[in-house]
Order: sequence, then structure tokens, then C-alpha cells
Amino acid sequence: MNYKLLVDTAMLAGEIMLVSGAETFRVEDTMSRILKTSGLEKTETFVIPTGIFLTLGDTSIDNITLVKRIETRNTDLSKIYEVNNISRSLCDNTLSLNEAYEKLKIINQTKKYNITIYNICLIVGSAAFTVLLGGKWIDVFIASINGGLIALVFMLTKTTKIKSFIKNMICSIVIAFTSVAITHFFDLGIQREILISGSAMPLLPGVAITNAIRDILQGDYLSGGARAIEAFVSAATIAAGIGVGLALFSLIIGGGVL
Amino acid sequence: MIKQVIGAFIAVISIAVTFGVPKKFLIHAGTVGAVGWFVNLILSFMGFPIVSSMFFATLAVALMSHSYARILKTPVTLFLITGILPLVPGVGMYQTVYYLITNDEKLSRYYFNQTMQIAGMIALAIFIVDTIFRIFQKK
Repeated sequence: MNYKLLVDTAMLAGEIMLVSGAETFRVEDTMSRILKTSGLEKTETFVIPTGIFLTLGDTSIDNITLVKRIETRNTDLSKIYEVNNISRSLCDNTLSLNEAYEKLKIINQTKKYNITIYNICLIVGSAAFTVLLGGKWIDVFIASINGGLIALVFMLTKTTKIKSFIKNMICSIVIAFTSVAITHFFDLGIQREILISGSAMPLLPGVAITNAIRDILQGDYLSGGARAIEAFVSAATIAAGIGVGLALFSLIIGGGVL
Repeated sequence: MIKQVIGAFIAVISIAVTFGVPKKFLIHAGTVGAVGWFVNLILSFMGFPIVSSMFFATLAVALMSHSYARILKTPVTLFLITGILPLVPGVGMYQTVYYLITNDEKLSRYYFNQTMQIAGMIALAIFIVDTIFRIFQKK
């Protein structure tokens, strides 16, 4: 068996999963399952949200150890699903190691949905979250404008190196500002709290919240704690952005609109 | 209320697309979100306080997510992450900030506490369902 390829496969699988937003224990589990197909004695994996370590070894061979630093985070749940399937079929011996490695490389490069569908879904998402919170049709209409603004901010900042929570903050400032401006200038009976919180819902850190909870339950306090902080910081920046947007408009108009 | 549940269904599907959930599971993810929000609405309508209705709603979301994950052989996060989103207390966050900048510290603190309690309840419900399914999983 080609042990070098095996550790590369395990590492690539782990990297894709971690970047795409899998829980830490799932990444560790998948990687050690792949490594265990070698039948060697030592198969250790250690994963934290910002890095992966793995060791494969036995008395018969030199130990192989890899370290991988993970810098980006790019939520794509379909990749977790596909890597999961590949590791399953690799462990069932229905897929050879070479094929698995090639497939993983393809998965790493493909994107599930194109940018137009993504943007449309942001707009529909903002609108639908406003419906869910009990908004009227006029709220929904303005929320979809807000969703469009979110998509616009994401598109404009896509090539820049701005961190995602700063992007979220910019988005929430824009949402709050336009919403409060529209409610101020047009008397349409808009429910401002439903409109603003509904529009900001797609920005909420769902992945970080869920993974923080599940990692902590698993006993991975380091990863769980890191993700809890991530969730809290994202939520706090969105809230702060809304506050800044509201205060900014009230400042421009001369106070007293809130 | 039906309008709101349909809204939840559409909202969760569109968010699922931005999170990259595969096409064949979009409808499943949507039903998880819709059922969760339906439970929350029904319980609020029956007069439950918001913290406990959120708890039971999350319980429903987590149960459905785990069942789908077992049946369809997928990672549970596919449904859990997207299904939980409608329950995340966005309105509470807004109200905390709103009353903070309008200098109403008492109401701001009230909504902050409520938001934190809801977050805690969501975590608790996920813990419970995870543990239940883990009992049956042991091999």
C-alpha cells in the first residue's frame, strides 16, 4: 500500500471538511477511518479549527507526520456530504485509493451553486425571513431590497481581503440605515423591528452556533470554545452594525426618529 | 400562521442554497425549518413563554435532522445548521441594540437576557437529542 498517498488523501479529506464547516470530531473521525484502512498500529489525528495534525506509523515503517494550517473558512455543506461518501466507499473497499484522491481533488475545486443563484437566494432569504417573523407584504418587499443590498456588498467585497464579520457589519449598517430611512420618509406602516431583524437573518452565524454546541458536547472544548467565540463575535458585530446604522440616520436627520 | 410557516420553508431553502446543501436535500432541509417554526408558533399561540417554546421548537428541529441524517445517510449538520436558523433570536438581538441606543437600559438588559436564554435553550435541546441518538448508535 502507498502510505504516502494514504496520508495525503486523509489530509485532503480533512482539509476540505474543516474548511467547508464540518464539526471537529467529524473531521477527526473521517480522517482516522481513512488512515485505519492501512491496518497500521498508530493512526493519530488531531484537529482544531485552525489546523490539522496527523501521524501514521508502525514498527515496520518510518512514521509519517503531516501538519496543515487552515486559514480560510468557506461554508459549503455539500462538500462535507461528498467527502463523507468518499470516505465511506473507501472504507468499504468499493473505491481505490487513487480514485478517491482524484475525486477529492475534483470536489475541492468545484462549487455547488453559481453566483447568480446564490445572490437570488440571499434576496429570497431576506424576504422569506421577514414573512416568517410575521411581516406584512410591504415589509417583505423592502426586505428583498435589503437582501439585494447584502448581495451587492458581498459582491463588491469579494475580491478584497476583508474578514467575513466586517462584511457582515457593513451589511447590517446598510440594512439598518436604508430601512430606517424608508420608514422615516414614507408612511407605509412598516414594522421596523421585523423588517430589520428579518433582513439581517441570512447573516447570522448558523454554522458557528451549531458546531460550537456539538463540539462542546463531544468534549472538544478548545474547538467548541473557539467556535462559540466566533458565533458571539459575528452576532455582536451584526448587532453593532444595526446600532450604527440606526444611530447614523438619526444623527443625519437631527435626532428623534427612533 | 400558515403564511409564516411557508415563509420559514422558503427561507430555510434559500439559506440552505447559500450554505451549499446539495439539491436533493433542499426539500428535507426546508421541512425541518418549517416544522421547527410551526412548533414555536403553536406553542407561543397556546401561551407558552418564548424561551420554552424555542426549546421545544429546537427539540423538533434536532429530532427531525437526526432522523433524516440516519435515513438518508448524510451528516446531520446538513439539516441542523439550516433548520436552526429561524430559531436564532435575531429579533432579540435587534431589540437589545435598539433600546441600548435609545438609552432605555432596563429594556435593553431585559432583551439581552432573553436572547441569551434562548441561545442556551437551543444548545440544551441539541444536547438532549444528540445524546438520545448516541445511545442507539453505539456499536
